[in-house]
Amino acid sequence: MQLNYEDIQVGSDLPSRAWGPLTNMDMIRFGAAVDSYGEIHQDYDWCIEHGFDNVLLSGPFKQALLCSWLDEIVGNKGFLKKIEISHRGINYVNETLKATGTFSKKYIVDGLGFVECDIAITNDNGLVSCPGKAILLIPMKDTDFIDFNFEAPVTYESFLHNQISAEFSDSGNIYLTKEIIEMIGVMGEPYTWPEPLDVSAIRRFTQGVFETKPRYVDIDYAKKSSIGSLIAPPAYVIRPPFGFWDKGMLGESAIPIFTVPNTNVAVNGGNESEWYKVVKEGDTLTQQARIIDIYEKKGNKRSLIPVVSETIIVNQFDEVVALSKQINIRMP
Amino acid sequence: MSKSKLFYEDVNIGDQIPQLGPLTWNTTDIVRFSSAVENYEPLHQARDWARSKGHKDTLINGPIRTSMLHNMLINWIGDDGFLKKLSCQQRAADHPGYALIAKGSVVNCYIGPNGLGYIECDIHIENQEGTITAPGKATVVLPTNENPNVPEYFDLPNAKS
Repeated sequence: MQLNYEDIQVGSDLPSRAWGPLTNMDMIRFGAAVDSYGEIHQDYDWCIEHGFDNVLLSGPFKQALLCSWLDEIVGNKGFLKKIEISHRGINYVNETLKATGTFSKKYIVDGLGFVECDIAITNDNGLVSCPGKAILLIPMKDTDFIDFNFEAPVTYESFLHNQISAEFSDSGNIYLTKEIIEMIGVMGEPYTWPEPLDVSAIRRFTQGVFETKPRYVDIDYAKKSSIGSLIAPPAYVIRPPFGFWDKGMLGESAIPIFTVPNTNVAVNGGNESEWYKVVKEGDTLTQQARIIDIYEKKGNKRSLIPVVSETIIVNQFDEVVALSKQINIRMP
Repeated sequence: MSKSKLFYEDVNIGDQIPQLGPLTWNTTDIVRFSSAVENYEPLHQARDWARSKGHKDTLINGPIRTSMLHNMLINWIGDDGFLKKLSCQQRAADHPGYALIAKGSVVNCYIGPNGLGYIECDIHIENQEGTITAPGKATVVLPTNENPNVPEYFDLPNAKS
């Protein structure tokens, strides 16, 4: 049954959803769907040798599960507009994850109903690992369909030409050296997918996140819809472009790569993504990313150095389909 | 690298096929292969699961070894040859970190009724300990000096002409 904007009570809970126990197989199936083959998400011995208790469930996997859950809540006519999550704890394979949330705000812009919610993932031990927020686009009672087509705050052209930089001032900081501060504003090279989005790629991804929504999995339904073809789930659109074999065995992200001095650990701190247009079967996406901030957060035991990057994702017409901010935390 | 065309007349009984490998298969390589064929069985990726079932470790997929045999033969015969038949048995386990080698030798050569050159080979996969874990046989078809073009399609044995 389609949820309508008028039915939303601010303060009420979203229907929760649980997945699991999520096995090594589930993690690998998701990794394969996004061409990501890192040992940390598949190799038990490697994880034990590196001080973990088991194989880690990946941040993008948990985020994609949340996106799929929210997409189910908005129904066949609604859309996920934005998600913002922090990665606060480690989840391992064989855990059961549960998504919960509360509607926090609702408002109408240009006749469209937007609903904000607070969301989180909790495992069977009560560990809250992915607190965050989301914005949902939920249809009004009399809405036949929503044309998901928004102008992004930047064009590809302006993204490339906007200058970002920071002044180097603290010569005593062992992490934020002049070279590191100069990385702020550095743009990575554009990555265009080697082939147009095809049904097989969508199928593998939807299987990887247990997706059942007809616009992503049912070709006949999709053909009869106003869009006319299968579309990519939102979490697929923001996946890093791993799979570029010429860039190394494990592929590479579009985000410029560099090492912060005096750090040797890098973890996924969180992600904020917003979508502007649907991505259809046959579209060819290009991602380009740049570093927008690097700073030091002094903790009790050690400093954290968040490296914030912003990725623009455009289709073959150079239309912005999504913007994604990624926080990668470096630490000693 | 350009490769000179291999003709039937170039091959003799007892010839060794240029080996493929050793190729070391790590967990990541095994997972990538399994993903390409959408086989997500825990036997090929979940080490704790595999050990709980009494295996020493996860197993290198049988089709990985078969694919290495395919590749060895295809590299040898080149674009103008045709891999006609291949059989292989999976006899023993290979595990992540093992270095596998595909080897083979020519055991029979004859001209088929279609005038093309048929080469029968013994082939196998052996690991770094020298254990033959996947033995098999293969038949390849090669151009001859008289019939330099091998067709892309062959009739089934019981096909009506």
